[in-house]
This record gives sequence, C-alpha cells and structure tokens, in this order.
Amino acid sequence: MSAKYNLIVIGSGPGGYVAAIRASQLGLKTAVVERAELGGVCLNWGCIPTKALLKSAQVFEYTRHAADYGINIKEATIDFGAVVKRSRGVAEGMSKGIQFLFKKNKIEVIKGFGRVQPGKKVEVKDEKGGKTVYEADHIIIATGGRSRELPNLKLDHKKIIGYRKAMTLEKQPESMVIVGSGAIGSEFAYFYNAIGTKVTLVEFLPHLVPLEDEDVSKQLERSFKKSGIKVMVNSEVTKVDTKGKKCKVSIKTHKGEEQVECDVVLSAVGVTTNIEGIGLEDVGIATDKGKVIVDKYYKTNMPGYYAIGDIVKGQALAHVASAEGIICVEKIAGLDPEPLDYNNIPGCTYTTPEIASVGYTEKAAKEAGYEIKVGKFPFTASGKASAAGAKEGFVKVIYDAKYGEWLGAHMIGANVTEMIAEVVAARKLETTGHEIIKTVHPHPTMSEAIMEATAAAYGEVIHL
Amino acid sequence: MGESVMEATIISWLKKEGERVEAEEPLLEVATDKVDTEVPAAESGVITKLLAKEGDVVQIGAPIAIINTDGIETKELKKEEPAPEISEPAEILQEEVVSPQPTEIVSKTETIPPRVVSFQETSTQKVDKVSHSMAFYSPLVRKIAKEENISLEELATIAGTGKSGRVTKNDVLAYLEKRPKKERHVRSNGTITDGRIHEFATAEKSTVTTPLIKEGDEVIDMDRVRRIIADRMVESRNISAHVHSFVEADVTRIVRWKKKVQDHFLKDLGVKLTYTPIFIEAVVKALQDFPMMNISVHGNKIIKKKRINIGLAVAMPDGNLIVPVIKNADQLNIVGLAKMVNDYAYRARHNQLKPDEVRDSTYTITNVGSFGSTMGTPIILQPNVGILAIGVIEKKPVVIESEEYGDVIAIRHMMVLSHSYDHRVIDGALGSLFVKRVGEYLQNFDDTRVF
Repeated sequence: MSAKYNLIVIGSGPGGYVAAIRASQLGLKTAVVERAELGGVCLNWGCIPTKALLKSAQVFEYTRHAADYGINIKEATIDFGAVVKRSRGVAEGMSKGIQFLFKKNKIEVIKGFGRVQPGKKVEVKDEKGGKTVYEADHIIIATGGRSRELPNLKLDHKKIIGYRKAMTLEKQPESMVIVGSGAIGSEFAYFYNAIGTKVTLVEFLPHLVPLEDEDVSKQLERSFKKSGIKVMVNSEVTKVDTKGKKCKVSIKTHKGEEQVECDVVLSAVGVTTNIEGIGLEDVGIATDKGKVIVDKYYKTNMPGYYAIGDIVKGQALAHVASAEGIICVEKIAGLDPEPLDYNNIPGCTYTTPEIASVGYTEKAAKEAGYEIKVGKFPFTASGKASAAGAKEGFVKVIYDAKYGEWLGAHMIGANVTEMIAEVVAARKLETTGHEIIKTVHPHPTMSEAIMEATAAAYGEVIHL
Repeated sequence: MGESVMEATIISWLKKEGERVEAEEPLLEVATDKVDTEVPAAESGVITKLLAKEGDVVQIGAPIAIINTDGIETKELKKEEPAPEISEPAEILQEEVVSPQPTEIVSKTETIPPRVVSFQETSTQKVDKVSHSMAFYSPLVRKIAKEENISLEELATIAGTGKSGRVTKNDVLAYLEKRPKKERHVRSNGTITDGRIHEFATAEKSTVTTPLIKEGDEVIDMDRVRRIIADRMVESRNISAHVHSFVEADVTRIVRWKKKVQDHFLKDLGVKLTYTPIFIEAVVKALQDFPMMNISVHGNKIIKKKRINIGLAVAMPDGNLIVPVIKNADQLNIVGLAKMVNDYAYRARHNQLKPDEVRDSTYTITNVGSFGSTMGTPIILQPNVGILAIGVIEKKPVVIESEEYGDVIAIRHMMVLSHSYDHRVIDGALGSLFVKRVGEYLQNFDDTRVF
C-alpha cells in the first residue's frame, strides 16, 4: 500500500492528462498512471505526428507546384527518413510538454500498467513486473483505443501494418493499399500519394470518409482521383497474400474480384477500445459492446470509478476525450458542469483538401425529420481561395427551416479545419442563420464562405 | 414587427421627375402604420428619377428617388433607417404605432445626420439597457418562442438547464412537448430582438378559421389602421392584467362654470371650451399625487415617468381610432389644454397628426360619454398602465348631506369615471384611490376661477 490520492487517472492521453490537470487546478491530489509515453496515442502516435508528416507532404507538393506561383525550383526530392524523423521529433516535444504541465500542476506520474481493483484501488505493474497498489477517492479510467483488426487482415507489422508502423516505416513503400477511408486511412492515402507512393484506397461503403456529408465525400473522391490515388469504393479486401516479395491483395468489388500488388497494406478500419486486462471485471464495472457504460458525468455503475475517452460511447476523438475529462473532474469536485452535447463535436480530416464538419449531415438531418434549408458556397467563388491557388472544395451549411437552428456545417478545402470552430461556437450559443449572415467576416478570407453559404441557404448570397 | 416602422406606403409624390426641389421642401407623402405624413427633401437638387410609384410599399432604407444635388454627383435618396435605440423604453412599443419622422440619407459615403437626443432620453436609455439584460435568450430560443407564440412571461416560467440556468433550445423544445395544445392559440406573440424582449400579442394565425359566409353576407377587408388597432387591442389584453374601478362624481360645479365662462373663452381667448381639458387637468393633478400611476413596465423593471403626457383617444371619421398625446400636460393651464385638445381633435379627424404627436403617452383618457355611455372598461394603451374612461354627464337625483337640512335629495350633474389599470403593477388600492382622487378634483372644482 502506498500514498493515497484524491484522484488517480489511468492513461495520460488527451482525456487523461487534461482530466488530471483540471483536477489539480480544482485542488485534488492527483496521480496519472501511464504505461508508455505521456500524451497517449494523440500526441505520440496520432493527431500530432501525422500532422507533421502531412505538412512535409504539403511542402513537397508546394515545391512541385512552385512554378504555378512563379517560382522555379529544381526538382525537389523526398528524404523519407528525415520526414519520419521530424514527425517523431515533434511528437517527442509535445510529450515533453505534458511532462512539464504535470510537474507544474504537481501531478504525480506512476509509470506502469494500471489495473483497477475493488475498494477504489489501482494496482500498477511496472516494467520489471513489480506491483504497487495505490488508493484514491476517485479513479478515472482513460485507457483509450488502438487499431481495430479485421480477421482477414491480421497485422504482421511488416507487410500488413497499422497506423503506428505507417508513420515509422524505415523506407518509403513504392506502392500501398490502404483499407478503410476514414480520417486515418484518408490522411495516409494523401500523405503517401503526395510523396510519390502509388496508393490504392479501398472503402467498403459507397463513399470515402463515410461519416461525412455525401457532397464532401464526393469532392474528396474527385480530388483524390485527380491527384492519382486509385479509389475503390463498395469494395472489400478479402485476402492478402504476403508470401511473395510483394503483397497480393484480393479486392472484391461489385464488378468482381480484383488483384492489386503492393509493398505494404495499411489497415485503417477503425479503432477498438483498451478495456482488456485493466481490472474492470474484478471491480464489476459494466461494459456494452466493448465500451464502458457511463452516465452523462462519466460515472460507471461502480461508485468512485469513472471512464472517459475512447472507451466510452461517443466519438473517439481527442477533443471529445478532453471535454469528457474536464466534465468528469468538475463533477467530482462538486461543480455543476453542463453535460457534453455530442451533436456539436467538430471532426477534422487533414487531407488536402482538408475536411471539417460538425452536426447533422444533410442526410442525417432529413432522417431526423427536419425540414431543412441548405446553402453551399464553392471556393471557386472565393477571392482568397483564388489568390491562394486553392479553389477546390466548398462550405455547405444546413439549417432547420422552421426555427433556423444551425443543424450542421460541412466543409472541404484549404484551411477549413481552422474554420469549423466558428460553427461550433455559433451552435453552442444557439445562433440562427440570421446572426451568421449579419456577422461581418473579414475579406478576403476563406471564412467568408461560411457567411456566404448561410446567405445562400436564405437566398441572400452575394458572390454567386 | 420590430422596434420601428419597417415600411411605408407612398401616397403621392409632390414633385415630378426633372423638377427641382429645395431642401426641407415636402417631396412626398407616405403612410406608415398609423400616421400619414409628408417627407421633406434632404437636399436641394433636381429629381433625376423616382424609383417608387405611388401606392408602392417601400422598405425603410430602400432608395426611392435619385436627386442630383447642386454641383454634386447623383445621390440616392433613401428613407432613413430609424436611429437605433435613442428612444425611451416606452417608445419601443409606441414606435409600433407611429412612424419615425422619416428623414433622408444619401449615398453610402455621406454621414447620416445624427438625431438630436436630449440628455433625458439618453439617460432613460440606460435604464432600458439594464432592464433588458436581466434575461438572456439565445437567438434560437427567441426564434422558437416567436414561432410557437411563447410570451416572455411564459418563457420565464421555463426552468433552464444551461449555464447559470439559461434556457436552452432543448429546454424550450421539452417545454413545447408538454405545453397544453390549447394554450398555443391564446398566447401572445412575443417578438424578441437583440437579446431583448418586446411583447406583442397578436391573434394567432392558426386560430383564424375560415368564417362561414352565408349568402347575402358582405365581406369587408380591414384597412391598415383597423388591422393595427385589432392587433394592439389583443396585444394589450395579453400584456396587462386589466382590472377596473368606478367612481361617480358630481360635476355640477364644472357644468355651471363651463356655462359661465365658455363665451368668454370663445370671444376673448379664441378657444372653444369643452369638458375634456377640465378632465385632463384633474387627471394630471391626480397623477402628480399618485406618481406610481404614471409608469410603464419593462421586464422586471418599473419605469417611473418624469413627464406627464396624456394620450387622448379620438374617433376618426372613418371609424378608426387615434391617440394624440398632449406632452407635458402638467405645464399647461386650462386654456393651453383646451387649445391643444381642439387642435389635436381637428387634425386627428383630418389625418394631419405628425408621428411625434401620437407617441410617448404616459396615461390615457377616453371619452365614452360623448357616445352616450355611462361607463366603460377601456383597454390600456401600451405601455401605459392605466386608462380613464369618462362617462356621459347626466342629471340625477342624489342624496346630499347638508348641515341645515340633513340628507336631502337634489338634482345634480353626475358622471361615472371608469378606470382600467394594469394589475401586474397597480393593485386595487392605488387604482381606486387614483380614480377617486380624480373624482374629488372634479367634484371640488373651483367654479369661481377665471380659467
């Protein structure tokens, strides 16, 4: 038995570390259990290092199109090793940042694998196998997720790889089949294609980025095809033969079976939760379909035990985990936080063009029974987009015809990931279209497109 | 509906294209909600083009004519967007009734002439702001409230689950779910703008069913003024909790005095004396005695009016009703009041009242006696909190206590004062005491006074 804490957080990802810092701010004696790098997947193997890779790809693309902007560059080449090294460096820096924040907030870091135990205890097994038990008034489980594996696409981490390996390959593959076109699959498709790998992107569903609005999916499909990615929708990888030098990938399409050869197959078919072996059964914490069951303040069925992030229902996104962590801790500390509105969570995909969206898609809004007003503003009509040479994409907004509620926004184009927060804030403040039309947007910016799209929904668009 | 007049109908152009117009010279006649008025030209110049025809309904701010001003480039004459929020809180509602003096602005580069605002108006505006900041409702909540005819009072009953108890969209929608269906049809229509709430009750559209028209029945379209009156009446009923008190007054002395002095008034002062200015004088005195009758309600705030402006309901020849306002009535004597009453009555009947003359009342008087009624239960003119109906003067046998003869029956000129007041803020005690005081002033009228 060791020190007693007010709060122990298992996992230091964007859910766990944010919860810990907020708890410390609110005066709770807090410790975090982490088996690997501080910051979790997000900082080390997700959001941040992939953005570093994508930036390299984008810079490379700029150099290739430099002549379009009146700049002559001798042919640029990719140093794949340096690209990966930069990405790792960025991740490391971020992880160190967490270390600093923990120190600043007097949060203890307990290295090792944590398991919840009855009696509000956490057993931590360190690298050498030694076990220590810690006690706390409250325990937050924030163990996150990992790549999902399909039975016919078992990772061997050499030829069939997951996202981790995909960002640390020793050498750039000549060709690659990516299975799954969600954010992870699409971002890697863009990255590898941009740096010269021959990419085939396979999606089981009828559209790329299937969670996005159909118009966005179609635009991405056009953009990807134009940039040379082989896009296969309505398709399924049935078998991968890794015996030879290359992989032979069997893909079932509605036209029949097709064989594609490649160096590596990247499985990007979603994430699964890390809920095994962490003591849930010992304590009696209830789960459902691989997720821990919690209430709106993230309490599990067992008093004193909480769960946040990827292991609970809701979008498996870093910012969701952070928001959940803060709400959970504030509730523990006796504040009265507002429960999270899962319909107002923005989602971003950092391909080129970027994708950003929040709220209902057109289809979902109709299915939910709304009568809707839809406005769309293409970046071809935007001065800033023209000047930047980034005319691909559009902003699409969806309003409830009856009350004017902003039901959703879907954007694809340059910098749109930086624009979506406006929509989230406006929706949080329960703004109607009228206020957006009357909100003066700076000219020339890409963000004008939000105002114009809204004006278009109400038949008042100026620049179309 | 908003805080201002949104549109106006062009009655007639007083100048033709190609004609020269001097600044301040009447350029056109427009009709707004209740008042028809002339609009003067902003600048001197030659009219190059009239952009709107007579009979057109034009939006405030829309260009209606182009005047080539002396030596300057062609400018578009616009109807000015009424200057924002320089009015008293009371006016926000009042402005519904009247049009702002439409002035002009010119092209975009021109500065809009600032409206002169008195210090007093500016200071009352602050009060306005404070009272409005009490409750915040999001644009979406306001829109839903408007669509579903949820009044401010009703909104206030909803328990908010948002930050600091703020009523969220979900709260309103949940409330709508369990709200009794019937209520939706009788509730007032809340128009809420800019985070503030202005209450306007209107007969709800959904309640309007196709009337059964039988053969021989005549269908008459309500004119603009009648529609507005209809809306205002229902609106006021929804805003105020109307209650009534009645007092009978012996006005024999007044009748006698009027008979005595009316010739003198007409010959020497050039004023036809009626009873109305006498009643106004009594009401003004009573308002001075009971300043809490001279108020208006704004959200959870009561605004005690410094000035006493008496609205006077006047029937118009077309059967409609207008309420000119005698401003600062406490500063006029009977002669002054009589002059104003006569002038207003005349101009009201000839449709010549100016927008400024039908706004800002703080208390209202209506004379139901002129049509033979003994008493009435008038509807309050918003945002006032009281209205006094003056009944017909009739000779009646009444019991009078006299020291010499004890109780005697005498024939006296009697009149009933009917007081409608807003029970939200005026209880029976004040409402009754006030009208009783008016009666006392009438009854104890000094019939020896000259004027």
